[in-house]
Amino acid sequence: MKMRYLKDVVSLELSTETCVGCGQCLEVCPHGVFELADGKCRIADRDACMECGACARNCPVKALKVKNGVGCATGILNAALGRSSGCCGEKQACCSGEDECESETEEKGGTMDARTRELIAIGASVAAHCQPCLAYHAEKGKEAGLTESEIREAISVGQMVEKGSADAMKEFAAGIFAAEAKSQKTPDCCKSSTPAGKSCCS
Amino acid sequence: MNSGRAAGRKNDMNGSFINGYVDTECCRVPRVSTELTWRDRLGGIAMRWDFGRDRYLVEPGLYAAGAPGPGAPVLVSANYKLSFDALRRELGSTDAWILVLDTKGVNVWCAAGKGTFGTDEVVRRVEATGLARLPGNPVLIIPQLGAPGVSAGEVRKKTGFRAVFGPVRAGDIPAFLAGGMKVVPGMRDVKFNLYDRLAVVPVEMVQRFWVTVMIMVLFFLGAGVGPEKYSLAFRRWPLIAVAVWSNFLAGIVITPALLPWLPGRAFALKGAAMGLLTGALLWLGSGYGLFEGSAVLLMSLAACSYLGLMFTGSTTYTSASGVRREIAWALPLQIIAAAAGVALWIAARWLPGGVL
Repeated sequence: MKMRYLKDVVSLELSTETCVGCGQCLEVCPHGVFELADGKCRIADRDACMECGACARNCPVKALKVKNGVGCATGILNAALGRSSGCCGEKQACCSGEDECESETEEKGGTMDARTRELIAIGASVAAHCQPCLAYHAEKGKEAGLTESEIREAISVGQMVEKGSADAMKEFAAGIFAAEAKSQKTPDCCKSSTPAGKSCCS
Repeated sequence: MNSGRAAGRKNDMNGSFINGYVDTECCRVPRVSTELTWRDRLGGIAMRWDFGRDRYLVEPGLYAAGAPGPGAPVLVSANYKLSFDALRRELGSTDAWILVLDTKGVNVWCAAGKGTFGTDEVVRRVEATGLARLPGNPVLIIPQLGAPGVSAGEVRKKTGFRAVFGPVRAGDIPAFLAGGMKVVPGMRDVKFNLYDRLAVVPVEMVQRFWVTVMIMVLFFLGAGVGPEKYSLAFRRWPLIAVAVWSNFLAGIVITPALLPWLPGRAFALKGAAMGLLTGALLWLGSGYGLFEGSAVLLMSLAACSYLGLMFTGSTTYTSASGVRREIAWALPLQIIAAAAGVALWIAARWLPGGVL
């Protein structure tokens, strides 16, 4: 027997214009909420939705939106009282202490907007010499609305940091014998004898 | 790589299911037994009864089941031992790799809701175990209930591995693999049958046991309030104990068991129906007078309705929006019913013919 929870209460939203009819939501939904009709996804059984967020997380074009959370009274009451809750059982999805978490469709993150985050990631990718990271974040940056010149600038900032670090390394390497000579006199180099600007030999 | 170390026998729990090693180009992968020992089963029962849940973990890392050759699939799992045991038991003679993520000992679905069973953890674990060096570019099979946390597309993009969602139940995996990774109807849906509903009951019983004892003691103390003081209180105690534990059983065991047949969709309503029945039986069985009887009815109504509402967290189909709506109307009514019941129970002692 298929049980359904309350009528017309879930926050599931589908943008039919955006939907490309790939069927990924049909694949991940644990309650058969969706069906495909005329090459588009359709919400066939809205009341069966439990707001787990699997569809929104896996929709490649972000056509689905759901305020995902856990349908657990203990968790919701605890959150309302400012306590974090334990998992109340075994098979359920109840264990997140948070009252609710916005789904990925809203792009989770802190106080920064997506563009800033991607700019930082682009710069860091360059400095970290991570080619796949750079390709990935450049693409995500474009999605987030960055222009090509902005991405170029972030790359050059990363390169500047990288160059700075290379110079500092060169200087450090040149001074290594001097530091060694010093450290022989004072074996515990991590105390006061570390020259300013040089890293501790740990 | 580090998977050999990952499965290192820091404690017996980990060592007990490893029965050999599979050597690959990248590393020595510990092989797990696909048969559960009595200790595994005992551990599983202990989990159901809420003993040592926090420590029931498996070391994250790569494991082998059977003799996985080139192209054998990689089954992704959580490091809650009960989930891991269910998976290896169901594999039987299937040859596969098992990639255990670090979900802090939480099952796949819960961890996916929290995000610990998530895209990032999959990517991290794939890298940490050197999965790319396994022969034959294997497919990652992610349990479908991991989908709230894992985007298969992103895993594909970030790791280069093909990632597909497998069936909901571990028991369907051999059929899923044998059928060319095709999901047949019935493998995708989460069910909540009588066994599933009763499986979550013991934990609830254990977790509510001491609160119930405290409530009983409060009623014992309250029994002495009134014109006769405690001279008659002890005579009320047996009936109080029966009433308290009847509600405990009705609200925690019988409501879940009868869930589909109780009226309404709201759990507070289903619980309230159970409470009315329990209260009525207690009234009839005890021979309480009008006031005391209605007091018991009101308090049973409140208790079972509340326990029903609390059961939402143990189900597989309630939504947060729905539970929030239900709490908003049900909780105030439950509090009013309980308060009215207690007041009437006490007041009955001053009313003519009120008490037994």
